[in-house]
Amino acid sequence: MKKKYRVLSVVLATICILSSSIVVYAVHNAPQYPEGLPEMGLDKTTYAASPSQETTTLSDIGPVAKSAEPAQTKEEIYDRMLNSVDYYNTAEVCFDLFDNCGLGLTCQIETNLLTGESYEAVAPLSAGAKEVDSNLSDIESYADGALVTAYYNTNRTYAVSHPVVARRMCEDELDESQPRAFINSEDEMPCYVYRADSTNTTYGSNCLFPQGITFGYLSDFNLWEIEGSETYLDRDCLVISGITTGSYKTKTGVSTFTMYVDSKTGILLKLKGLAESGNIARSMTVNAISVDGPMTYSMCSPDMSKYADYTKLDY
Amino acid sequence: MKLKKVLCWLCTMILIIGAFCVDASALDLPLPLIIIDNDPVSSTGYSYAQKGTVQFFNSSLYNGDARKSGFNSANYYSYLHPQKNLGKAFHVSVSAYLNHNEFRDPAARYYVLLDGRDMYIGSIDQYNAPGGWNKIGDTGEVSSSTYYARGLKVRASGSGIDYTGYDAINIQYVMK
Repeated sequence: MKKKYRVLSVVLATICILSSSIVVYAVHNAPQYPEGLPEMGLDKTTYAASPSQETTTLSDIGPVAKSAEPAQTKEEIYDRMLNSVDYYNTAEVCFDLFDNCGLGLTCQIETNLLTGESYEAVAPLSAGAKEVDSNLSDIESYADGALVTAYYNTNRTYAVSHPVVARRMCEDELDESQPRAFINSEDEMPCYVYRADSTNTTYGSNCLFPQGITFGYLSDFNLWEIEGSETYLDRDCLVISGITTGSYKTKTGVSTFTMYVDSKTGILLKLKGLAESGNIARSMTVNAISVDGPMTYSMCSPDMSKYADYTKLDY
Repeated sequence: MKLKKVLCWLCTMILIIGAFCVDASALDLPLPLIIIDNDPVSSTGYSYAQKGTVQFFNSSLYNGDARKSGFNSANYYSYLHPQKNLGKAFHVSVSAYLNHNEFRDPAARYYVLLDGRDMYIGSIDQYNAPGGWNKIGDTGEVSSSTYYARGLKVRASGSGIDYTGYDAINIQYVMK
Protein backbone atom coordinates (compact mmCIF):
# COMPACT_ATOMS: atom_id res chain seq x y z
CA MET A 1 0.00 0.00 0.00
CA LYS A 2 2.80 2.33 1.02
CA LYS A 3 4.64 1.53 -2.18
CA LYS A 4 1.55 2.43 -4.20
CA TYR A 5 1.32 5.83 -2.47
CA ARG A 6 4.99 6.42 -3.07
CA VAL A 7 4.68 5.67 -6.79
CA LEU A 8 1.58 7.83 -6.99
CA SER A 9 3.27 10.76 -5.26
CA VAL A 10 6.33 10.44 -7.52
CA VAL A 11 4.08 10.45 -10.59
CA LEU A 12 2.13 13.46 -9.27
CA ALA A 13 5.32 15.35 -8.44
CA THR A 14 6.72 14.64 -11.91
CA ILE A 15 3.52 15.91 -13.52
CA CYS A 16 3.63 19.04 -11.37
CA ILE A 17 7.26 19.74 -12.25
CA LEU A 18 6.67 19.12 -15.96
CA SER A 19 3.58 21.28 -16.15
CA SER A 20 5.17 24.12 -14.21
CA SER A 21 8.24 24.00 -16.48
CA ILE A 22 5.97 24.17 -19.52
CA VAL A 23 4.19 27.17 -18.03
CA VAL A 24 7.49 28.87 -17.18
CA TYR A 25 8.80 28.15 -20.68
CA ALA A 26 5.63 29.46 -22.32
CA VAL A 27 5.65 32.60 -20.21
CA HIS A 28 9.29 33.20 -21.03
CA ASN A 29 8.82 32.34 -24.68
CA ALA A 30 6.02 34.82 -25.43
CA PRO A 31 7.30 38.36 -25.79
CA GLN A 32 5.83 40.59 -23.13
CA TYR A 33 3.84 42.96 -25.23
CA PRO A 34 2.55 46.46 -24.70
CA GLU A 35 -0.75 46.85 -22.91
CA GLY A 36 -3.85 48.33 -24.43
CA LEU A 37 -3.37 47.00 -27.94
CA PRO A 38 -6.44 45.81 -29.87
CA GLU A 39 -6.74 42.11 -30.68
CA MET A 40 -7.28 40.81 -34.21
CA GLY A 41 -6.17 38.05 -36.58
CA LEU A 42 -2.87 38.48 -38.37
CA ASP A 43 -4.56 37.26 -41.56
CA LYS A 44 -7.01 40.17 -41.32
CA THR A 45 -4.33 42.81 -41.80
CA THR A 46 -4.58 44.47 -45.15
CA TYR A 47 -2.53 46.76 -47.28
CA ALA A 48 -4.41 49.06 -49.63
CA ALA A 49 -4.71 47.91 -53.24
CA SER A 50 -1.70 49.24 -55.09
CA PRO A 51 0.36 48.57 -58.17
CA SER A 52 3.34 46.28 -57.84
CA GLN A 53 6.59 47.89 -56.75
CA GLU A 54 8.22 46.30 -59.75
CA THR A 55 6.01 48.22 -62.16
CA THR A 56 6.69 51.51 -60.41
CA THR A 57 8.48 54.04 -62.54
CA LEU A 58 9.88 57.43 -61.70
CA SER A 59 6.75 59.10 -62.98
CA ASP A 60 4.76 57.20 -60.37
CA ILE A 61 6.87 58.61 -57.58
CA GLY A 62 5.83 61.97 -56.48
CA PRO A 63 3.01 62.71 -54.11
CA VAL A 64 4.14 65.86 -52.36
CA ALA A 65 4.56 65.84 -48.59
CA LYS A 66 1.61 66.71 -46.41
CA SER A 67 1.59 69.94 -44.53
CA ALA A 68 0.54 69.56 -40.93
CA GLU A 69 0.61 71.41 -37.66
CA PRO A 70 3.41 70.29 -35.34
CA ALA A 71 2.48 67.23 -33.27
CA GLN A 72 1.65 68.07 -29.67
CA THR A 73 -0.04 65.06 -28.11
CA LYS A 74 1.16 61.51 -27.55
CA GLU A 75 -1.17 60.19 -30.25
CA GLU A 76 0.00 62.80 -32.73
CA ILE A 77 3.72 62.26 -32.23
CA TYR A 78 3.31 58.46 -32.29
CA ASP A 79 1.42 58.72 -35.56
CA ARG A 80 3.88 61.26 -36.97
CA MET A 81 6.86 58.99 -36.26
CA LEU A 82 5.16 55.95 -37.81
CA ASN A 83 4.40 58.01 -40.92
CA SER A 84 7.30 60.47 -41.00
CA VAL A 85 7.93 59.94 -44.73
CA ASP A 86 4.59 61.61 -45.44
CA TYR A 87 5.83 64.90 -43.98
CA TYR A 88 8.97 65.77 -45.95
CA ASN A 89 10.16 65.50 -49.54
CA THR A 90 13.91 65.58 -49.13
CA ALA A 91 16.21 65.18 -46.18
CA GLU A 92 19.92 65.24 -45.56
CA VAL A 93 21.18 63.96 -42.25
CA CYS A 94 24.36 62.86 -40.53
CA PHE A 95 24.16 60.88 -37.30
CA ASP A 96 26.10 58.71 -34.88
CA LEU A 97 24.87 55.29 -33.83
CA PHE A 98 26.33 53.61 -30.79
CA ASP A 99 25.54 50.76 -28.42
CA ASN A 100 27.25 48.88 -25.63
CA CYS A 101 27.45 45.70 -27.74
CA GLY A 102 30.12 46.99 -30.08
CA LEU A 103 28.18 49.08 -32.58
CA GLY A 104 29.72 52.43 -33.39
CA LEU A 105 29.23 54.18 -36.69
CA THR A 106 28.55 57.49 -38.33
CA CYS A 107 26.14 57.60 -41.22
CA GLN A 108 25.33 60.26 -43.77
CA ILE A 109 22.09 60.02 -45.71
CA GLU A 110 20.56 62.12 -48.43
CA THR A 111 17.17 61.07 -49.72
CA ASN A 112 14.65 62.45 -52.16
CA LEU A 113 11.24 60.88 -51.69
CA LEU A 114 9.86 62.53 -54.81
CA THR A 115 12.31 60.89 -57.17
CA GLY A 116 13.41 57.74 -55.35
CA GLU A 117 17.03 58.85 -55.30
CA SER A 118 19.26 58.51 -52.28
CA TYR A 119 22.86 58.40 -51.14
CA GLU A 120 24.16 56.77 -47.98
CA ALA A 121 27.68 56.53 -46.59
CA VAL A 122 28.57 54.51 -43.51
CA ALA A 123 31.89 54.91 -41.68
CA PRO A 124 33.37 54.00 -38.30
CA LEU A 125 32.14 56.25 -35.50
CA SER A 126 33.35 59.82 -35.77
CA ALA A 127 31.36 61.38 -32.96
CA GLY A 128 29.80 64.72 -33.80
CA ALA A 129 30.77 64.65 -37.49
CA LYS A 130 28.50 66.67 -39.73
CA GLU A 131 29.29 64.63 -42.81
CA VAL A 132 31.06 61.40 -43.73
CA ASP A 133 34.25 61.53 -45.75
CA SER A 134 33.50 59.06 -48.54
CA ASN A 135 37.16 58.02 -48.57
CA LEU A 136 36.72 56.69 -45.04
CA SER A 137 33.40 55.09 -45.74
CA ASP A 138 33.13 51.29 -45.65
CA ILE A 139 29.89 51.16 -47.61
CA GLU A 140 28.25 53.68 -49.88
CA SER A 141 24.94 53.08 -51.57
CA TYR A 142 23.03 54.93 -54.23
CA ALA A 143 19.41 54.76 -55.31
CA ASP A 144 18.93 56.15 -58.79
CA GLY A 145 15.14 56.10 -58.90
CA ALA A 146 15.06 52.52 -60.14
CA LEU A 147 17.60 50.41 -58.26
CA VAL A 148 19.61 50.60 -55.06
CA THR A 149 23.28 49.69 -55.50
CA ALA A 150 25.71 49.16 -52.65
CA TYR A 151 29.45 49.74 -53.05
CA TYR A 152 31.71 47.94 -50.57
CA ASN A 153 34.82 50.07 -50.49
CA THR A 154 36.85 47.69 -48.35
CA ASN A 155 36.54 44.82 -50.84
CA ARG A 156 36.13 47.05 -53.91
CA THR A 157 32.97 45.22 -54.91
CA TYR A 158 29.41 46.28 -55.59
CA ALA A 159 25.99 44.68 -55.75
CA VAL A 160 22.60 45.75 -57.01
CA SER A 161 20.64 45.37 -53.85
CA HIS A 162 16.94 45.80 -54.60
CA PRO A 163 14.44 47.92 -56.54
CA VAL A 164 13.68 51.40 -55.29
CA VAL A 165 10.60 51.71 -53.10
CA ALA A 166 8.33 54.55 -54.15
CA ARG A 167 6.83 56.84 -51.54
CA ARG A 168 3.11 56.37 -51.14
CA MET A 169 1.08 58.24 -48.58
CA CYS A 170 -0.17 56.30 -45.58
CA GLU A 171 -3.76 56.27 -46.81
CA ASP A 172 -2.60 54.86 -50.15
CA GLU A 173 -0.55 52.15 -48.51
CA LEU A 174 -2.59 50.94 -45.55
CA ASP A 175 -6.31 50.51 -45.05
CA GLU A 176 -7.60 53.27 -42.80
CA SER A 177 -9.03 50.77 -40.33
CA GLN A 178 -5.73 48.92 -40.04
CA PRO A 179 -4.22 49.24 -36.54
CA ARG A 180 -0.43 49.47 -36.75
CA ALA A 181 0.12 47.46 -33.57
CA PHE A 182 -2.15 44.75 -32.24
CA ILE A 183 -2.25 41.37 -30.55
CA ASN A 184 -2.62 38.47 -32.95
CA SER A 185 -5.68 36.58 -31.75
CA GLU A 186 -4.33 33.30 -33.14
CA ASP A 187 -1.22 33.06 -30.98
CA GLU A 188 -1.50 36.05 -28.62
CA MET A 189 1.72 37.49 -30.02
CA PRO A 190 2.17 41.19 -30.68
CA CYS A 191 2.10 42.19 -34.34
CA TYR A 192 3.44 45.37 -35.90
CA VAL A 193 2.52 46.59 -39.37
CA TYR A 194 5.26 48.47 -41.20
CA ARG A 195 5.11 50.71 -44.22
CA ALA A 196 7.61 50.34 -47.03
CA ASP A 197 10.80 52.30 -46.38
CA SER A 198 10.83 54.85 -49.17
CA THR A 199 14.01 56.50 -47.88
CA ASN A 200 15.71 53.65 -49.77
CA THR A 201 18.50 53.52 -47.23
CA THR A 202 19.84 50.94 -44.80
CA TYR A 203 20.17 53.05 -41.65
CA GLY A 204 17.37 55.56 -42.30
CA SER A 205 15.13 53.56 -39.96
CA ASN A 206 17.13 54.97 -37.05
CA CYS A 207 16.04 58.55 -37.63
CA LEU A 208 14.30 59.43 -40.91
CA PHE A 209 11.63 56.73 -40.70
CA PRO A 210 11.84 55.26 -37.19
CA GLN A 211 9.06 52.68 -37.31
CA GLY A 212 10.78 49.92 -35.34
CA ILE A 213 11.92 52.36 -32.65
CA THR A 214 8.42 53.81 -32.38
CA PHE A 215 6.82 50.38 -32.03
CA GLY A 216 9.45 49.25 -29.56
CA TYR A 217 9.61 52.25 -27.24
CA LEU A 218 6.25 53.96 -27.67
CA SER A 219 3.45 51.52 -28.49
CA ASP A 220 2.57 51.23 -24.79
CA PHE A 221 1.45 54.79 -24.02
CA ASN A 222 1.65 54.14 -20.28
CA LEU A 223 5.43 53.85 -20.42
CA TRP A 224 6.37 57.31 -21.68
CA GLU A 225 5.58 61.00 -21.37
CA ILE A 226 6.14 64.16 -23.36
CA GLU A 227 8.40 66.21 -21.10
CA GLY A 228 8.23 69.41 -23.11
CA SER A 229 9.66 70.96 -26.25
CA GLU A 230 13.14 72.12 -27.19
CA THR A 231 14.91 73.42 -30.25
CA TYR A 232 17.65 71.11 -31.49
CA LEU A 233 19.62 71.77 -34.68
CA ASP A 234 17.08 74.49 -35.50
CA ARG A 235 14.22 71.99 -35.44
CA ASP A 236 11.33 72.20 -32.98
CA CYS A 237 11.35 68.96 -31.06
CA LEU A 238 9.20 67.22 -28.53
CA VAL A 239 11.24 65.71 -25.73
CA ILE A 240 9.98 62.29 -24.71
CA SER A 241 11.12 60.20 -21.80
CA GLY A 242 10.07 56.77 -20.68
CA ILE A 243 10.95 53.28 -19.61
CA THR A 244 11.07 49.97 -21.42
CA THR A 245 9.78 46.66 -20.14
CA GLY A 246 9.55 43.02 -21.14
CA SER A 247 11.17 41.64 -24.23
CA TYR A 248 12.16 45.03 -25.63
CA LYS A 249 14.11 45.80 -22.48
CA THR A 250 15.81 42.42 -22.76
CA LYS A 251 16.57 42.94 -26.42
CA THR A 252 17.91 46.48 -26.27
CA GLY A 253 19.35 46.52 -22.76
CA VAL A 254 17.64 49.89 -22.39
CA SER A 255 15.92 50.59 -19.09
CA THR A 256 15.08 54.30 -19.46
CA PHE A 257 15.23 56.51 -22.52
CA THR A 258 14.99 60.07 -23.80
CA MET A 259 14.07 61.04 -27.35
CA TYR A 260 14.06 64.29 -29.29
CA VAL A 261 11.53 64.08 -32.10
CA ASP A 262 10.98 66.72 -34.77
CA SER A 263 7.37 67.72 -34.09
CA LYS A 264 6.68 68.65 -37.69
CA THR A 265 8.00 65.58 -39.50
CA GLY A 266 8.32 62.87 -36.84
CA ILE A 267 12.02 62.45 -37.65
CA LEU A 268 13.95 61.18 -34.64
CA LEU A 269 16.85 63.51 -33.85
CA LYS A 270 18.15 61.99 -30.66
CA LEU A 271 17.71 58.76 -28.73
CA LYS A 272 19.56 58.07 -25.53
CA GLY A 273 18.83 54.73 -23.90
CA LEU A 274 20.32 53.99 -20.50
CA ALA A 275 20.91 50.55 -19.01
CA GLU A 276 19.90 49.86 -15.42
CA SER A 277 23.50 50.63 -14.45
CA GLY A 278 23.07 54.16 -15.78
CA ASN A 279 25.50 53.60 -18.65
CA ILE A 280 24.48 54.21 -22.23
CA ALA A 281 23.01 51.06 -23.74
CA ARG A 282 22.05 52.59 -27.08
CA SER A 283 22.23 56.03 -28.57
CA MET A 284 21.53 57.77 -31.83
CA THR A 285 22.46 61.40 -32.24
CA VAL A 286 21.82 63.48 -35.32
CA ASN A 287 24.71 65.90 -35.81
CA ALA A 288 23.40 67.76 -38.86
CA ILE A 289 20.07 67.84 -40.63
CA SER A 290 18.43 69.65 -43.51
CA VAL A 291 14.80 68.98 -44.35
CA ASP A 292 13.35 70.00 -47.72
CA GLY A 293 16.53 71.88 -48.52
CA PRO A 294 18.26 72.09 -51.90
CA MET A 295 19.55 68.89 -53.53
CA THR A 296 23.16 68.12 -52.88
CA TYR A 297 26.11 67.10 -54.97
CA SER A 298 26.13 63.45 -53.93
CA MET A 299 22.68 62.81 -55.29
CA CYS A 300 22.49 65.24 -58.21
CA SER A 301 25.75 64.41 -59.91
CA PRO A 302 27.63 61.72 -58.06
CA ASP A 303 31.12 60.90 -59.24
CA MET A 304 30.81 57.21 -60.06
CA SER A 305 34.21 56.97 -61.76
CA LYS A 306 35.86 55.95 -58.48
CA TYR A 307 33.91 52.68 -58.61
CA ALA A 308 34.99 51.88 -62.17
CA ASP A 309 37.30 49.03 -61.17
CA TYR A 310 34.91 47.51 -58.62
CA THR A 311 33.87 43.89 -59.18
CA LYS A 312 30.18 43.16 -59.43
CA LEU A 313 28.81 40.61 -56.98
CA ASP A 314 26.16 38.38 -58.49
CA TYR A 315 23.79 36.58 -56.20
CA MET B 1 -47.74 37.05 -67.27
CA LYS B 2 -47.08 40.73 -66.97
CA LEU B 3 -46.04 40.23 -63.34
CA LYS B 4 -43.52 37.57 -64.40
CA LYS B 5 -41.99 39.96 -66.93
CA VAL B 6 -41.72 42.71 -64.36
CA LEU B 7 -40.12 40.31 -61.88
CA CYS B 8 -37.65 39.11 -64.50
CA TRP B 9 -36.78 42.68 -65.37
CA LEU B 10 -36.33 43.58 -61.71
CA CYS B 11 -34.08 40.58 -61.05
CA THR B 12 -31.94 41.42 -64.07
CA MET B 13 -31.57 45.02 -62.93
CA ILE B 14 -30.66 43.94 -59.42
CA LEU B 15 -28.01 41.59 -60.78
CA ILE B 16 -26.54 44.23 -63.08
CA ILE B 17 -26.49 46.93 -60.39
CA GLY B 18 -25.10 44.42 -57.88
CA ALA B 19 -22.28 43.50 -60.20
CA PHE B 20 -21.27 47.15 -60.48
CA CYS B 21 -21.57 47.80 -56.78
CA VAL B 22 -19.52 44.85 -55.56
CA ASP B 23 -16.34 46.03 -53.88
CA ALA B 24 -13.43 44.80 -55.95
CA SER B 25 -11.56 43.77 -52.82
CA ALA B 26 -14.44 41.47 -51.91
CA LEU B 27 -13.46 39.40 -54.93
CA ASP B 28 -10.01 38.80 -53.52
CA LEU B 29 -9.32 35.22 -52.60
CA PRO B 30 -6.93 35.04 -49.67
CA LEU B 31 -5.21 31.68 -49.41
CA PRO B 32 -4.68 30.28 -45.91
CA LEU B 33 -1.86 31.99 -44.01
CA ILE B 34 1.34 29.98 -44.31
CA ILE B 35 3.63 29.92 -41.29
CA ILE B 36 7.05 28.39 -41.84
CA ASP B 37 9.56 28.15 -39.05
CA ASN B 38 13.26 27.85 -39.75
CA ASP B 39 14.50 24.28 -40.20
CA PRO B 40 11.03 22.80 -40.74
CA VAL B 41 10.66 19.05 -40.42
CA SER B 42 9.99 17.41 -43.76
CA SER B 43 6.61 16.03 -42.66
CA THR B 44 5.23 19.59 -42.76
CA GLY B 45 5.85 19.71 -46.50
CA TYR B 46 8.14 22.69 -46.03
CA SER B 47 11.87 22.80 -46.61
CA TYR B 48 14.68 25.33 -46.73
CA ALA B 49 17.84 26.39 -48.48
CA GLN B 50 20.53 28.57 -46.99
CA LYS B 51 23.99 29.98 -47.31
CA GLY B 52 26.22 31.04 -44.44
CA THR B 53 23.74 30.53 -41.60
CA VAL B 54 23.99 28.59 -38.34
CA GLN B 55 21.19 27.28 -36.17
CA PHE B 56 21.00 28.32 -32.53
CA PHE B 57 18.61 27.86 -29.64
CA ASN B 58 16.94 30.19 -27.17
CA SER B 59 13.56 30.18 -25.45
CA SER B 60 12.72 33.63 -26.86
CA LEU B 61 12.71 32.23 -30.39
CA TYR B 62 9.77 30.72 -32.26
CA ASN B 63 9.71 27.04 -31.27
CA GLY B 64 12.94 27.68 -29.41
CA ASP B 65 15.35 28.00 -32.32
CA ALA B 66 16.36 30.23 -35.23
CA ARG B 67 19.21 30.79 -37.64
CA LYS B 68 21.65 33.62 -37.95
CA SER B 69 24.33 34.63 -40.38
CA GLY B 70 27.05 37.22 -40.57
CA PHE B 71 26.04 40.41 -42.34
CA ASN B 72 27.73 39.52 -45.64
CA SER B 73 25.10 40.16 -48.30
CA ALA B 74 25.82 36.81 -49.96
CA ASN B 75 24.20 35.09 -46.98
CA TYR B 76 20.56 34.12 -47.19
CA TYR B 77 17.88 31.76 -45.93
CA SER B 78 14.97 30.50 -48.06
CA TYR B 79 11.71 29.17 -46.67
CA LEU B 80 10.23 26.80 -49.24
CA HIS B 81 6.71 25.44 -49.56
CA PRO B 82 5.09 23.26 -52.24
CA GLN B 83 4.50 25.23 -55.44
CA LYS B 84 1.34 27.32 -55.50
CA ASN B 85 -0.37 28.51 -58.64
CA LEU B 86 -1.26 32.16 -58.07
CA GLY B 87 -3.05 32.73 -61.34
CA LYS B 88 -2.56 35.87 -63.33
CA ALA B 89 -3.09 38.48 -60.59
CA PHE B 90 -2.23 38.38 -56.96
CA HIS B 91 -0.45 40.12 -54.13
CA VAL B 92 1.63 38.80 -51.26
CA SER B 93 2.33 40.10 -47.78
CA VAL B 94 4.94 38.80 -45.37
CA SER B 95 5.63 38.96 -41.62
CA ALA B 96 8.74 37.89 -39.76
CA TYR B 97 8.91 36.71 -36.18
CA LEU B 98 11.80 38.55 -34.52
CA ASN B 99 12.65 38.31 -30.85
CA HIS B 100 16.35 38.08 -30.14
CA ASN B 101 19.03 40.62 -29.32
CA GLU B 102 21.51 39.08 -31.74
CA PHE B 103 19.28 39.95 -34.69
CA ARG B 104 20.87 43.26 -35.58
CA ASP B 105 20.66 43.67 -39.34
CA PRO B 106 19.59 47.28 -39.97
CA ALA B 107 17.73 46.34 -43.15
CA ALA B 108 17.30 42.61 -43.76
CA ARG B 109 15.73 42.14 -47.20
CA TYR B 110 12.73 39.95 -47.94
CA TYR B 111 11.89 38.51 -51.37
CA VAL B 112 9.04 36.28 -52.55
CA LEU B 113 10.27 33.39 -54.70
CA LEU B 114 8.30 33.30 -57.93
CA ASP B 115 9.09 31.05 -60.86
CA GLY B 116 12.76 31.02 -60.00
CA ARG B 117 13.08 34.77 -59.56
CA ASP B 118 13.02 36.90 -56.44
CA MET B 119 10.45 39.66 -56.08
CA TYR B 120 11.43 42.26 -53.49
CA ILE B 121 8.87 42.91 -50.78
CA GLY B 122 10.75 45.18 -48.42
CA SER B 123 13.29 45.38 -45.66
CA ILE B 124 13.09 45.42 -41.92
CA ASP B 125 15.27 46.96 -39.26
CA GLN B 126 15.92 43.88 -37.13
CA TYR B 127 18.08 45.93 -34.76
CA ASN B 128 15.16 48.06 -33.57
CA ALA B 129 12.21 45.73 -34.25
CA PRO B 130 10.23 44.75 -31.14
CA GLY B 131 9.54 41.12 -30.25
CA GLY B 132 6.68 39.48 -32.12
CA TRP B 133 5.37 39.42 -35.68
CA ASN B 134 6.72 42.27 -37.74
CA LYS B 135 4.66 42.70 -40.90
CA ILE B 136 7.11 43.86 -43.52
CA GLY B 137 4.95 44.76 -46.45
CA ASP B 138 3.08 43.77 -49.51
CA THR B 139 4.17 43.31 -53.10
CA GLY B 140 1.22 45.29 -54.41
CA GLU B 141 -0.83 43.78 -57.18
CA VAL B 142 1.22 41.67 -59.55
CA SER B 143 -0.38 40.76 -62.83
CA SER B 144 1.38 39.02 -65.64
CA SER B 145 1.71 35.50 -66.92
CA THR B 146 0.78 32.76 -64.47
CA TYR B 147 3.07 32.68 -61.46
CA TYR B 148 4.03 29.81 -59.25
CA ALA B 149 5.13 30.76 -55.76
CA ARG B 150 7.69 28.69 -53.89
CA GLY B 151 8.30 30.64 -50.69
CA LEU B 152 10.36 33.43 -49.28
CA LYS B 153 14.01 34.40 -49.26
CA VAL B 154 15.64 36.60 -46.63
CA ARG B 155 18.95 38.18 -47.47
CA ALA B 156 21.42 39.97 -45.23
CA SER B 157 21.77 43.66 -46.05
CA GLY B 158 25.55 43.66 -46.11
CA SER B 159 25.64 46.24 -43.34
CA GLY B 160 25.91 45.82 -39.62
CA ILE B 161 28.33 44.35 -37.20
CA ASP B 162 26.67 41.18 -36.04
CA TYR B 163 24.00 38.90 -37.31
CA THR B 164 21.00 38.75 -39.56
CA GLY B 165 18.26 36.63 -37.99
CA TYR B 166 16.04 34.03 -39.62
CA ASP B 167 13.19 32.74 -37.47
CA ALA B 168 9.57 31.94 -38.35
CA ILE B 169 7.88 33.83 -41.16
CA ASN B 170 4.34 33.93 -42.43
CA ILE B 171 3.15 34.50 -45.95
CA GLN B 172 -0.28 35.59 -47.08
CA TYR B 173 -1.04 35.07 -50.76
CA VAL B 174 -4.15 36.78 -52.09
CA MET B 175 -5.38 35.88 -55.57
CA LYS B 176 -7.31 38.50 -57.47
